[in-house]
Amino acid sequence: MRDVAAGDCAAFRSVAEALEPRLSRFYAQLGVPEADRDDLYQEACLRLYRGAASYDPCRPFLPWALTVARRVMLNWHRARKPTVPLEEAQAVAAEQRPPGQGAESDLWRFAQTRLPAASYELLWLRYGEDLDPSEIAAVTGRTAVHVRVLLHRSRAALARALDTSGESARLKHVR
Amino acid sequence: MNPQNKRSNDTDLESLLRAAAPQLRPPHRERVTAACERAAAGPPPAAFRAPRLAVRALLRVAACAVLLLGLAPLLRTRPVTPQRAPPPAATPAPVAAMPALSDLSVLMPSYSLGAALASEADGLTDDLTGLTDAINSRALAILF
Repeated sequence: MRDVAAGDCAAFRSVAEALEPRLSRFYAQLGVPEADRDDLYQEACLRLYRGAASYDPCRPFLPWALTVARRVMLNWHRARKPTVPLEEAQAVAAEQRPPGQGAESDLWRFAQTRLPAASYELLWLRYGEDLDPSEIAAVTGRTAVHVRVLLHRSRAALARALDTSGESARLKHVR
Repeated sequence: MNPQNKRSNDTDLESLLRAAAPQLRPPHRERVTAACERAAAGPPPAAFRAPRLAVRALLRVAACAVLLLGLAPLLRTRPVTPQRAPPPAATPAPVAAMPALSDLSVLMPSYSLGAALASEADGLTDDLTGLTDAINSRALAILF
């Protein structure tokens, strides 16, 4: 990142290349439509490039990059219109399968449909991105203790939802 | 639920969530190229500045100093008061000078209390009589 801050385009390209799969998956998991992921990725990269000087090398890079990417996504959420075109809405509805049908990989989709957005985001950052609670706290602007408590509640809520829908036994069987 | 079972279920759920996370796909070259071109077209990033470790340390020291200044009035101990000198020992000379306890009348003149007690007893008797009359009249007022 020191080279990026010095204006080295090759260094920035390697950083952007390493981040692209991560950020694409991050945006996809948090419900950003495919059509907007490209814009969000480019905006996040632009901010990372301009803010490279403010990166502290003593801290891990991924939480910092995810913090920037998350803020870009929140700005996008605020700026976009509350409605979606009819074709897109139908496409989303057709893409979503009801819980109870699908394989183990649908656990995240199940969690997304059953949990509040904030709980789902915390679970994804913890188990999808494999961040520590302290890193999640830095990304989401909470304290580490608060993150631990919210993670515990989110897990409990997901376990309850799985139990009531009968998914729990099926997932164990698939596993 | 048994705590051990609950912990086991939590661990199962955590491993399920980790296993169910979608795999990373290879980077999208065109998207990366577009991002690099967009970044190169804009202004260059600000010059790298080393993290201000000294400033942070100074800020921490200043914060501690402010905290200690705030706590100083609470932590301040009261000055130790000088110990008072013991009172001088009383000499038993006046007591020893008494010839005997039977001679108390020498120190204190005797008074006659009979008349005073008799007048007090008369006053109390009058009060008691008045109180009885008042109670009787009230009781009859309630009955009739």
